[in-house]
Amino acid sequence: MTVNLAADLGFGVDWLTVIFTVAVIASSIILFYVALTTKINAHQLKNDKIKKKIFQIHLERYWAISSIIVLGSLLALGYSWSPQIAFEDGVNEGDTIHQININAGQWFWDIQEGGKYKIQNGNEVPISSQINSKELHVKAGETVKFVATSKDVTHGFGVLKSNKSMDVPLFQMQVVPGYENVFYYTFKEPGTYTIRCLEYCGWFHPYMTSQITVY
Amino acid sequence: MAKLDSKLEDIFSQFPVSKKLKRLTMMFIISSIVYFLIAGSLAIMMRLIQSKSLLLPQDSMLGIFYTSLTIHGQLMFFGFISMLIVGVSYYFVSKFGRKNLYSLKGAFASYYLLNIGAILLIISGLMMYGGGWYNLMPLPFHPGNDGWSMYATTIFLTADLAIGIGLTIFSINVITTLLSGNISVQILGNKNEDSKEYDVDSIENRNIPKKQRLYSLVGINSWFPTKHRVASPIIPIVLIGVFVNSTAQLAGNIGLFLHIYMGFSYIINPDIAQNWLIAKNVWWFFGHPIVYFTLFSFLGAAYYYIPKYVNNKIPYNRWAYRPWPFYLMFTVMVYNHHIFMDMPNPVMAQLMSQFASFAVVFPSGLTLMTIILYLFRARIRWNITAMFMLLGVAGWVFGGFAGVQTGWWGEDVYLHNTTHIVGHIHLVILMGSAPLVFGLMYSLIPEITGKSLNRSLGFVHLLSLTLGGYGLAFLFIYLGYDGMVRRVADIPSQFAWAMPYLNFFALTVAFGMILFVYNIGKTLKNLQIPKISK
Repeated sequence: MTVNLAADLGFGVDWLTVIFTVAVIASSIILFYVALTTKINAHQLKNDKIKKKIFQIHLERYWAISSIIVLGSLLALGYSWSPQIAFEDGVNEGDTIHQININAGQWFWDIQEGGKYKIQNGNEVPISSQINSKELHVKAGETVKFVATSKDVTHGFGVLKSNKSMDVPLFQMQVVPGYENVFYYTFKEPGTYTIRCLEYCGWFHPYMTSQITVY
Repeated sequence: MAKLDSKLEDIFSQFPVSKKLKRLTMMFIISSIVYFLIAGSLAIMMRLIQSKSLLLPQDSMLGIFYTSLTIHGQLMFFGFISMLIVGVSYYFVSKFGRKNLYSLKGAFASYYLLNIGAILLIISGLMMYGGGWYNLMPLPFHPGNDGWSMYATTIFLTADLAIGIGLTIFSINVITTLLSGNISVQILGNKNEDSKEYDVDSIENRNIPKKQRLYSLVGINSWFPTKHRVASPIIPIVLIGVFVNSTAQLAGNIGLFLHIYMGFSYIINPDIAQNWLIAKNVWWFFGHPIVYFTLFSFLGAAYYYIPKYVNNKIPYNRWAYRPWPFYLMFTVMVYNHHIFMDMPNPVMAQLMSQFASFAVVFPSGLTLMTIILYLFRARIRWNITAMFMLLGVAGWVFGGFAGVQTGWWGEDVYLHNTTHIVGHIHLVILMGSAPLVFGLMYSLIPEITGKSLNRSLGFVHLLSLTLGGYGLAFLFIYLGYDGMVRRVADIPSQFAWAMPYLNFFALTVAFGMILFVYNIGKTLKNLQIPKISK
């Protein structure tokens, strides 16, 4: 499975909500059922063929095998969704990359234009000068390489799915001081998106927000 | 699972746990409850601030919130649940190992060190330390304003050092006790016709060679072919839970000490460049085992206490033993999934943790299945302990579902640092480990003191924990799906509707806990706790 330019990894929040809800309801029903079966009387217990059968077939064995199959499948399914793996798949020879540089600090985002690059022979070759401008011109559909650094403590660079103060992250990454932290993303829709710090970084962390407009 | 009928229970009771150890266990229990109340009060404080129920200046509001957040997290982990685990584990080792601890002085030392750590945590809180319970360096040294001083950070790090040493002494004490001298072994008898497993005939203490003992203590021998398996020593499962817990934590403590070392190095000389990504890695190398630390000893105990209330005979079941080697291995490997969003982290380390995140579900699922099968059509006596334990199993199941989602690297992009994680940890700890703990308290306190806790108050405690705990945890999870960010003191108006509900659920949990403390206090009033004789 390939990921579309490292955007929209995995199932997404809507599906996760459904899966969690179904799993909780189903397991609650099973647990209630098991609790109700404990009302069995002594006579029934003595002749309980169901219980004996469960022991005889070693239900745990089949449970263990099926668990390994399910977990192995989930692991394989999620491999290509893993961000760093998805970036390798998503950025190909000849692609144009639009770089945005972010410098984070307590409690601000300094977001600057980083220029455009073409991938040639595995290298990033500049096709526009790096202008270090705060005038960003991000277009829907282009691959954006966010390069974030921190001047003080660890921050969390999160781009939310709307211009609301809080919303589901489209993506996020930690901004660890001393490192260039990189995330590739392709905005599908034009609009204004909220940028919010998603890692606690001191008392005024709640107010460390900004915005990015996609045309 | 051992056939823990009255005959075997008597055998376990034959070994007289020393009065000193009983007293120490009660000291651990009482201390842990005190710290739970303090940490719980801080949780209520956070709820009141987020719901804007307190009219405070902005700086005070932010400071109190983040100090509460920091001390609540550490105090719940170390002052409450780790304190309980350590105390109860010592008791279990002596009771089920049918021997004295290797070092009772060491046990007392770990008690005092954990208390010193907890008290220092509270002092750092009074100095407004708010670097987060996970101590995300370099934030502790760069609050960004006059939030807290370097003295507060130093006290906080010293608290963690005391706690780390206390936990290390505990782990070494337990491991040494179980690896030295004799150890109790279950002697298998005839094959049970119904279950095709062997019945346990008796228990005796034997001196087993170290290598063979190690296989048994980790549960590896349960994977041997039948002939070798039944010929190998089968150690009571409660001891296996405690041993795996101690060993995993001993390994994890290396991460804590490295983290503290980096912190003190920076305080002494800030000019020396530190790699804060490594600091994060070593913290979580400690931080993940400490989550499982809250569970394993009680899980081992659940295998003893749940069948205790089942009237039919339960034979030795190798499937109860089989998860433990995996727990030990994957608990140590899985730490990196806390830092999936750290892109500079090596891909191989991330992939290893991705594998371990799913792999650790395997033994958890197996454990849950065996416990559910014990309960299935089992004619259980539904006393308070059994009900709390079923509640704990359910919390663990639900928390596991949430954990799998956030432990999936690609999905963590949407969930990391949202309140989904807060919901997950509350399901696993508040509704998973804590009910197992409370259930055990309703059984252990009468066992140690000879006085029973009030059943009606216990039932109300159970109901309020169920209502409040699930309300709190599920609401956090669904708010997380909706994008509510964790560790934010000032919640935007779009989520304001949820705050009164969160307050209600938190207060419901608090109400149950006050009843629990009252119940214990009333029961222990005028009780003659055995005095320590010289």
